Amino acid sequence: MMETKSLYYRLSQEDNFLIQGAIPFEVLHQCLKTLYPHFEKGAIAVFFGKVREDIIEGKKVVAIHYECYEAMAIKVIKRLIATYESDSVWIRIYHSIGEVKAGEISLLVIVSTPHRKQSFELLQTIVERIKKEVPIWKKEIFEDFTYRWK
Amino acid sequence: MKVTVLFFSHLEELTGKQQLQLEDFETLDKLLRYLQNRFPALQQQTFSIAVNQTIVNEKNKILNDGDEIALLPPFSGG
Repeated sequence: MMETKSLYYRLSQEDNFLIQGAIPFEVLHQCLKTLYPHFEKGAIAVFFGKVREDIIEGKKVVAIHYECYEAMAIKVIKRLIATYESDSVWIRIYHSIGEVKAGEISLLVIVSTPHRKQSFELLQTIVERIKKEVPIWKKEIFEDFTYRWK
Repeated sequence: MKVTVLFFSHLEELTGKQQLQLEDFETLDKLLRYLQNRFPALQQQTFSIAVNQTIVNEKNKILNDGDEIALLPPFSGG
Protein backbone atom coordinates (compact mmCIF):
# COMPACT_ATOMS: atom_id res chain seq x y z
CA MET A 1 0.00 0.00 0.00
CA MET A 2 1.54 3.33 -1.05
CA GLU A 3 2.38 5.58 1.92
CA THR A 4 -0.22 8.39 2.08
CA LYS A 5 2.15 11.35 2.19
CA SER A 6 4.09 10.23 -0.86
CA LEU A 7 0.85 9.52 -2.75
CA TYR A 8 -0.46 13.05 -2.10
CA TYR A 9 2.88 14.45 -3.22
CA ARG A 10 2.84 12.41 -6.39
CA LEU A 11 -0.75 13.37 -7.21
CA SER A 12 0.20 17.03 -7.03
CA GLN A 13 3.00 16.58 -9.56
CA GLU A 14 2.34 17.33 -13.18
CA ASP A 15 3.51 14.07 -14.71
CA ASN A 16 1.78 11.74 -12.25
CA PHE A 17 0.15 9.53 -14.88
CA LEU A 18 2.14 6.36 -14.15
CA ILE A 19 1.80 4.62 -10.77
CA GLN A 20 4.03 1.76 -9.63
CA GLY A 21 1.81 -1.25 -8.89
CA ALA A 22 -1.95 -1.23 -8.38
CA ILE A 23 -3.77 2.13 -8.35
CA PRO A 24 -5.05 2.80 -4.81
CA PHE A 25 -8.69 3.83 -4.32
CA GLU A 26 -7.35 6.92 -2.58
CA VAL A 27 -6.41 8.33 -6.01
CA LEU A 28 -10.11 8.48 -6.99
CA HIS A 29 -10.95 10.05 -3.64
CA GLN A 30 -8.34 12.78 -4.14
CA CYS A 31 -9.61 13.51 -7.65
CA LEU A 32 -13.21 13.81 -6.43
CA LYS A 33 -12.11 16.19 -3.68
CA THR A 34 -10.27 18.29 -6.30
CA LEU A 35 -13.42 18.38 -8.45
CA TYR A 36 -15.76 19.40 -5.62
CA PRO A 37 -15.33 23.21 -6.00
CA HIS A 38 -15.95 23.05 -9.78
CA PHE A 39 -19.67 23.82 -9.41
CA GLU A 40 -20.12 24.45 -13.15
CA LYS A 41 -19.39 20.77 -13.91
CA GLY A 42 -22.35 18.55 -13.18
CA ALA A 43 -21.12 15.25 -14.60
CA ILE A 44 -18.23 12.98 -13.61
CA ALA A 45 -17.63 9.76 -15.53
CA VAL A 46 -15.11 7.23 -14.21
CA PHE A 47 -13.52 4.16 -15.79
CA PHE A 48 -11.67 1.56 -13.71
CA GLY A 49 -9.67 -1.12 -15.57
CA LYS A 50 -9.14 -4.18 -13.40
CA VAL A 51 -6.79 -7.11 -13.97
CA ARG A 52 -8.99 -10.01 -14.96
CA GLU A 53 -8.33 -13.55 -13.75
CA ASP A 54 -8.41 -15.07 -17.25
CA ILE A 55 -7.95 -18.80 -17.80
CA ILE A 56 -5.67 -19.43 -20.79
CA GLU A 57 -4.97 -22.99 -21.90
CA GLY A 58 -6.05 -24.20 -18.48
CA LYS A 59 -3.79 -21.80 -16.58
CA LYS A 60 -5.05 -18.94 -14.39
CA VAL A 61 -3.68 -15.40 -14.78
CA VAL A 62 -2.64 -14.26 -11.30
CA ALA A 63 -1.08 -10.92 -12.24
CA ILE A 64 -0.08 -8.68 -15.10
CA HIS A 65 3.28 -6.97 -15.40
CA TYR A 66 3.02 -3.68 -17.29
CA GLU A 67 6.12 -2.57 -19.15
CA CYS A 68 6.19 1.04 -20.27
CA TYR A 69 8.29 3.35 -22.45
CA GLU A 70 7.86 6.01 -19.82
CA ALA A 71 9.31 9.05 -21.59
CA MET A 72 7.03 8.50 -24.57
CA ALA A 73 3.99 7.43 -22.51
CA ILE A 74 4.10 10.69 -20.54
CA LYS A 75 4.29 12.73 -23.77
CA VAL A 76 1.41 10.80 -25.35
CA ILE A 77 -0.83 11.09 -22.27
CA LYS A 78 -0.11 14.83 -21.93
CA ARG A 79 -0.98 15.32 -25.60
CA LEU A 80 -4.17 13.30 -25.18
CA ILE A 81 -5.28 15.39 -22.22
CA ALA A 82 -4.38 18.64 -24.00
CA THR A 83 -6.50 17.57 -26.98
CA TYR A 84 -9.69 17.47 -24.94
CA GLU A 85 -9.18 19.47 -21.75
CA SER A 86 -10.60 23.01 -21.56
CA ASP A 87 -12.29 25.32 -19.09
CA SER A 88 -15.35 23.07 -19.21
CA VAL A 89 -13.59 19.69 -19.46
CA TRP A 90 -11.43 18.16 -16.69
CA ILE A 91 -9.47 14.93 -17.26
CA ARG A 92 -7.23 12.70 -15.15
CA ILE A 93 -5.47 9.54 -16.37
CA TYR A 94 -3.55 7.02 -14.24
CA HIS A 95 -1.98 3.80 -15.52
CA SER A 96 -0.07 1.19 -13.52
CA ILE A 97 3.46 0.13 -14.32
CA GLY A 98 5.08 -2.98 -12.87
CA GLU A 99 3.09 -5.82 -11.36
CA VAL A 100 -0.65 -5.67 -10.61
CA LYS A 101 -2.44 -8.69 -9.17
CA ALA A 102 -5.73 -10.10 -10.49
CA GLY A 103 -8.61 -8.05 -9.10
CA GLU A 104 -6.54 -4.90 -8.61
CA ILE A 105 -6.94 -1.68 -10.59
CA SER A 106 -4.44 -0.88 -13.34
CA LEU A 107 -6.17 1.95 -15.20
CA LEU A 108 -8.19 4.89 -13.90
CA VAL A 109 -9.69 7.57 -16.14
CA ILE A 110 -11.86 10.38 -14.77
CA VAL A 111 -13.66 12.92 -16.94
CA SER A 112 -15.77 15.82 -15.76
CA THR A 113 -17.91 18.10 -17.94
CA PRO A 114 -20.98 20.30 -17.42
CA HIS A 115 -23.40 17.63 -18.71
CA ARG A 116 -23.48 13.83 -18.80
CA LYS A 117 -23.58 13.15 -22.57
CA GLN A 118 -20.17 14.71 -23.12
CA SER A 119 -18.70 12.87 -20.11
CA PHE A 120 -19.94 9.47 -21.32
CA GLU A 121 -18.64 10.02 -24.85
CA LEU A 122 -15.32 11.54 -23.87
CA LEU A 123 -14.58 8.80 -21.34
CA GLN A 124 -14.95 6.12 -23.97
CA THR A 125 -12.89 8.05 -26.52
CA ILE A 126 -10.04 8.53 -24.06
CA VAL A 127 -9.98 4.91 -22.88
CA GLU A 128 -9.86 3.66 -26.48
CA ARG A 129 -7.08 6.10 -27.36
CA ILE A 130 -5.03 5.06 -24.31
CA LYS A 131 -5.19 1.44 -25.45
CA LYS A 132 -4.21 2.37 -28.98
CA GLU A 133 -1.59 5.10 -28.48
CA VAL A 134 0.23 4.75 -25.15
CA PRO A 135 3.43 2.61 -25.29
CA ILE A 136 2.58 0.08 -22.58
CA TRP A 137 2.77 -3.72 -22.89
CA LYS A 138 1.18 -6.45 -20.78
CA LYS A 139 2.92 -9.61 -19.64
CA GLU A 140 0.38 -12.09 -18.25
CA ILE A 141 1.79 -14.04 -15.31
CA PHE A 142 0.25 -17.46 -14.63
CA GLU A 143 -0.19 -19.39 -11.41
CA ASP A 144 2.70 -21.70 -12.35
CA PHE A 145 5.02 -18.65 -12.72
CA THR A 146 5.16 -18.94 -16.50
CA TYR A 147 4.14 -15.90 -18.55
CA ARG A 148 3.28 -14.65 -22.00
CA TRP A 149 3.38 -11.24 -23.66
CA LYS A 150 -0.04 -10.12 -24.80
CA MET B 1 27.64 10.01 -34.09
CA LYS B 2 26.05 7.89 -31.36
CA VAL B 3 22.45 6.76 -31.03
CA THR B 4 20.63 4.63 -28.46
CA VAL B 5 18.31 1.81 -29.51
CA LEU B 6 15.66 0.60 -27.05
CA PHE B 7 13.89 -2.77 -27.16
CA PHE B 8 10.52 -3.34 -25.50
CA SER B 9 8.25 -6.24 -24.63
CA HIS B 10 9.24 -9.57 -26.22
CA LEU B 11 11.83 -7.84 -28.43
CA GLU B 12 14.02 -7.49 -25.35
CA GLU B 13 13.95 -11.26 -24.91
CA LEU B 14 14.52 -11.92 -28.62
CA THR B 15 17.61 -9.72 -28.75
CA GLY B 16 18.83 -10.26 -25.21
CA LYS B 17 19.13 -6.47 -24.90
CA GLN B 18 17.16 -3.65 -23.24
CA GLN B 19 19.23 -1.10 -25.10
CA LEU B 20 22.21 -0.69 -27.41
CA GLN B 21 24.54 2.22 -28.04
CA LEU B 22 25.51 2.30 -31.72
CA GLU B 23 27.63 4.55 -33.87
CA ASP B 24 27.75 5.79 -37.44
CA PHE B 25 24.32 4.99 -38.83
CA GLU B 26 23.25 7.98 -40.92
CA THR B 27 19.70 6.89 -41.62
CA LEU B 28 17.03 4.83 -39.92
CA ASP B 29 16.91 2.23 -42.69
CA LYS B 30 20.63 1.55 -42.42
CA LEU B 31 20.25 1.10 -38.68
CA LEU B 32 17.28 -1.25 -39.13
CA ARG B 33 19.15 -3.37 -41.68
CA TYR B 34 22.02 -3.71 -39.23
CA LEU B 35 19.68 -4.73 -36.40
CA GLN B 36 17.89 -7.31 -38.55
CA ASN B 37 21.22 -8.82 -39.60
CA ARG B 38 22.53 -8.88 -36.06
CA PHE B 39 19.24 -10.23 -34.64
CA PRO B 40 17.64 -12.27 -37.46
CA ALA B 41 14.56 -13.06 -35.32
CA LEU B 42 13.58 -9.37 -35.70
CA GLN B 43 12.77 -9.99 -39.35
CA GLN B 44 9.62 -11.92 -38.36
CA GLN B 45 8.46 -9.32 -35.86
CA THR B 46 5.93 -6.51 -36.21
CA PHE B 47 6.91 -3.24 -34.62
CA SER B 48 6.68 0.48 -35.15
CA ILE B 49 9.62 2.80 -34.63
CA ALA B 50 9.87 5.94 -32.53
CA VAL B 51 12.69 8.44 -32.78
CA ASN B 52 12.93 10.64 -29.70
CA GLN B 53 9.53 9.42 -28.50
CA THR B 54 7.70 10.19 -31.75
CA ILE B 55 6.51 7.46 -34.12
CA VAL B 56 8.14 7.80 -37.56
CA ASN B 57 7.07 6.24 -40.83
CA GLU B 58 9.83 7.35 -43.15
CA LYS B 59 12.50 4.66 -43.03
CA ASN B 60 15.10 6.90 -44.70
CA LYS B 61 14.88 9.42 -41.85
CA ILE B 62 18.24 10.99 -41.09
CA LEU B 63 19.56 10.26 -37.62
CA ASN B 64 21.36 12.76 -35.41
CA ASP B 65 23.85 12.42 -32.59
CA GLY B 66 22.05 11.54 -29.36
CA ASP B 67 18.88 10.25 -31.01
CA GLU B 68 16.90 7.60 -29.15
CA ILE B 69 15.33 4.97 -31.40
CA ALA B 70 12.72 2.63 -29.88
CA LEU B 71 11.37 -0.56 -31.43
CA LEU B 72 7.74 -0.78 -30.34
CA PRO B 73 5.61 -3.93 -30.72
CA PRO B 74 1.85 -3.33 -30.88
CA PHE B 75 0.71 -1.75 -27.62
CA SER B 76 -1.38 -3.70 -25.13
CA GLY B 77 -1.93 -1.31 -22.25
CA GLY B 78 -5.20 -0.06 -20.86
